[in-house]
Amino acid sequence: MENSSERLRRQKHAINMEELPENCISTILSFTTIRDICILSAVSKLFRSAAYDDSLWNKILPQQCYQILPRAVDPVTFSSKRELYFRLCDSILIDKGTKMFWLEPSTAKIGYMLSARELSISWGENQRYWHWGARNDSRFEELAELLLVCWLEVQGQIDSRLLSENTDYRVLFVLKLRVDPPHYGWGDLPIRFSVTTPDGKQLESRQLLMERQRERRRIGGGWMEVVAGEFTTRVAENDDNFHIKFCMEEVEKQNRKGGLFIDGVKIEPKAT
Amino acid sequence: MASGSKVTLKSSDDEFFDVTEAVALECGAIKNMIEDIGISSPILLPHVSRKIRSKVIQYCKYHVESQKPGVSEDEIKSRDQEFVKVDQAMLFELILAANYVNNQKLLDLTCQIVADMIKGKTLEEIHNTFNIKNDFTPEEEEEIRHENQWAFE
Repeated sequence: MENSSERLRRQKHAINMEELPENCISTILSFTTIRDICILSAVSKLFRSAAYDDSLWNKILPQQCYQILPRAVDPVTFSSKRELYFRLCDSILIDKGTKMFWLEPSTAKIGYMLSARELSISWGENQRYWHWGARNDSRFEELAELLLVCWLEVQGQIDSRLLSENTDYRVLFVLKLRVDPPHYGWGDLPIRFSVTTPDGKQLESRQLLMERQRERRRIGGGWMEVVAGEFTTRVAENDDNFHIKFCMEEVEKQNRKGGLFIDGVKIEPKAT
Repeated sequence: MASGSKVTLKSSDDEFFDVTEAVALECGAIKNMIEDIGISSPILLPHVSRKIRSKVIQYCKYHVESQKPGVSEDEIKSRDQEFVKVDQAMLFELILAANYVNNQKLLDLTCQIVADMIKGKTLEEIHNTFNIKNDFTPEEEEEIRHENQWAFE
């Protein structure tokens, strides 16, 4: 064992954290959080170098990103993995602009938004009932505007393998009630939202869109994000079914309703 | 080579130390040297002092033993935790040594301990606790804070 003079000698020449090689600092940082890594970049030049190192961000970037890059509408250029990470946090349009992809900065979890075109809308191609056009405040080139229907049924699905594993997600319909000309038919009309997971389990809720719109207006207006349901991605257990299905419908009372904009459906990792 | 073969290691203070080949092979750098030059001559480790070398060897021995059946994950974990109950200076020396001899498990273990110490601390706390000098100019620091704005909010 070490005697006291050996220990004194060792402590006199005690090495400081600054004397660790950069790759060791990077390894240390890899065991902290992404937020910590970014804050610690400001400790010293050594820390900045370690915190910006490609090997670190390589571990953080989900593998799915590399399959996504060739599908981007605008080519994603980057001179470091860190730069790639934050570019993806800003969100990119993929698949000819029909979907949006992003990463949550503090967790590196994957988020998607499907445009209205990616959804199955009953009677959606009938120009008497639905109109497709562009709006300044849309995330996509086109969105769907409900003119008038009795049978409202909007469905969609996503392959859960595209998402982050072992992650809690929420499915949100991004909607807005039209002001001019005014929307109609939504008062006291519960709309049924549901999310079905690959194992067949279904979560459903009935919500009043005018209530959701009022809540949104109170915090400054803009698009409503109506929660259709939640699910948790699991490591693929069987090869049969990995689709998460979601639906917004009103097919019971079937009264006439109109004046609803659908920008799309967001599949968003839940904030922890 | 016979599984009980002995490998001789020589540390910076000129001390010789024998270990089994299995223990020596836990360290990537030593493994490479053995593959290149065999085990008939001592393996030189000039950057590792006797004290640190013996700690590293202790760790390697634990891990060779823990690969035998009947050793639980919990036992390994609690042994690891006891192993790293050392002062800060020793911890950094272990990191340097693990890096030098390329023992990834030991490197990860020791780096995790330091990471737990720095997680959630403010910059000022880091500078003070670890006696690290902020060598940025005010403009450079401002630039980094700006580049990482989201984290500081």
